[in-house]
Amino acid sequence: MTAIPLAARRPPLALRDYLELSKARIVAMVLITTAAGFAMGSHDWLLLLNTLVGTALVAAGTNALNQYVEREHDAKMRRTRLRPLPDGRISPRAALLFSSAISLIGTVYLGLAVNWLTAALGAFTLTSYIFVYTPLKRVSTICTLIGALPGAIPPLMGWTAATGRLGTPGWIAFAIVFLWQLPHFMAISWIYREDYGRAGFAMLAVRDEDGRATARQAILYSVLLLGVSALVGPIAVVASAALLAVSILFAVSRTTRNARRLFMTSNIYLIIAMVLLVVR
Amino acid sequence: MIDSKNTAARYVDETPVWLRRFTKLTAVWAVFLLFAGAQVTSTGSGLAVPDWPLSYGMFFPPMIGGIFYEHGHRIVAGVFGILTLIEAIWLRRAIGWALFGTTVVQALIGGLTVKLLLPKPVSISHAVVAEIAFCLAVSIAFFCSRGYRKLQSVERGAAPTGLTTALVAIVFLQIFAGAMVRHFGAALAIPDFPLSFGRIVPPVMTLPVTINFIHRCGALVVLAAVIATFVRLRRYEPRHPLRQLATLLLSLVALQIFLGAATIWTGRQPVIASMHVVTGASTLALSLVLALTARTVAWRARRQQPGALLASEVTA
Repeated sequence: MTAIPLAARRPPLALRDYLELSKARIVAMVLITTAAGFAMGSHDWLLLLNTLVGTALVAAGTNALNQYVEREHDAKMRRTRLRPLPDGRISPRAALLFSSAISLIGTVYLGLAVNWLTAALGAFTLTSYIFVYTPLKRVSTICTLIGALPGAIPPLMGWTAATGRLGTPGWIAFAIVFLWQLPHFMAISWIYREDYGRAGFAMLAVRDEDGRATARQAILYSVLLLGVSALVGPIAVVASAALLAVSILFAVSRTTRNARRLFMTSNIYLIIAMVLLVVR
Repeated sequence: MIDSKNTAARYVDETPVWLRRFTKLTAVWAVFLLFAGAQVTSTGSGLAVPDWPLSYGMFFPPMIGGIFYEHGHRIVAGVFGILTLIEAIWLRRAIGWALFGTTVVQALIGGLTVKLLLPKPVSISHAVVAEIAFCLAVSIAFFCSRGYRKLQSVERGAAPTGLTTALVAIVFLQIFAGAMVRHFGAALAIPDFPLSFGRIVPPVMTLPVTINFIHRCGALVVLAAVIATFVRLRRYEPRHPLRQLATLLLSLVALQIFLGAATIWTGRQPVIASMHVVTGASTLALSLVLALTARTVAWRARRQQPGALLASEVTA
């Protein structure tokens, strides 16, 4: 069998740019948490597929809209200046049309193929992310806390897609993802604090020069996560304890290396928690 | 630009003597609390008081029967909560608030176990979070202690941070297995020791037998890990803190295995079973202190080599 050259297997340039505009990796993460929320309430594979398609469209649209709104700030950050919009590979008009279209299609798709409660949650995620979180990022350090709300809705959407109603298991999944995001983003914002500062973002890590407040926040939410993890089970508590330990390590020695450890541990925690939510 | 802002060393210099003593008191009270909590399970008094946060609608119900253990545990826990709050305010460090927050969370999980009539996952979580709170209390006492200050004058060298950290993880997992044994009521699922039903491997593997056998195998793993650490640390001179801690840890593990055996031989006598829990927690705490000591010594060793620090810590 003839091997296909790597370059030939990659998506065409325009498609790759639109995938980057949609932040495909973040969409994948959103879909994992949505699927976990869904699996707690149902094993209807077709309904799951419809849920994931609709959620993927809304999530991709939200990410693309966010990049459209922040294109000028992205141009100032080393980490983001080569994104399709600041790099000029996609025009702002095309990005706006693309993101609005897939967001709308995704919301209507969720409403028709799943249920309107899930569609409403998807629409709430999009609007709160774009019209509340994104502007707040340049105004107040509370933005991370506010931004964690839309970030935590996908597992709840999974639950409502499966059951058609809001319920305790869905809220537990919501609480886990909500609290998990905070130490996770404290680590990211500490690693990239100079970049965020250049772009004028009011992240806590940017204003908190010695990192004490950032570390305190990471510890606070890790402790709260410990409590919510007890509702999932003792293995989740053990994983949460590891997250708390690394948060404290970060507080004791606020190095980039420890921030990366915190980031990695938080990722592992989320995977464990999602698996446990599904199998419990 | 170097972004390393290591603040641990400042704990000692800034710690008033009474705060240092207070952190020790809190850690010792945590041991007492662990014993009181273990007694609730050992005596089967978990539901002796059916309501929470009050006990039979009162602050102080008659201390009779199982109420003595359950309500006594709540009182000891309440005092611990007050101690951790004072410590957090006095210490003014994130780790102090982490301890207080964990204690509050632990109280809520405790309340949940009562409200939900002792569901196993929540009860085991309650046991695991107790160990975390204890570890935090011990860590604070360690960072504020004279022993930590003395480490500043210890000869620097490459300390086995990976090995000692792995040891903490192994002991923690073994305690997790122990909590499973307690809350699944599997302590006497295998009635003999050191053999299991007269054999090395039990002939029948029901869930309680499996949990019990995993805990026994875990004891062997912990023992092997502690012996490996002890042998590795024999390279240090006899009075080196790392070597002293390793010797103490080995003795504690030997005591813990004996208490585990005695729990079976006495048909799960409550006080012995509770001592087994407390000694297990102390083993975890001591292995944590060993790991923190190794990290402190190694950290000092790194500080002596500015080149190494620059290579690993410079922001990109």
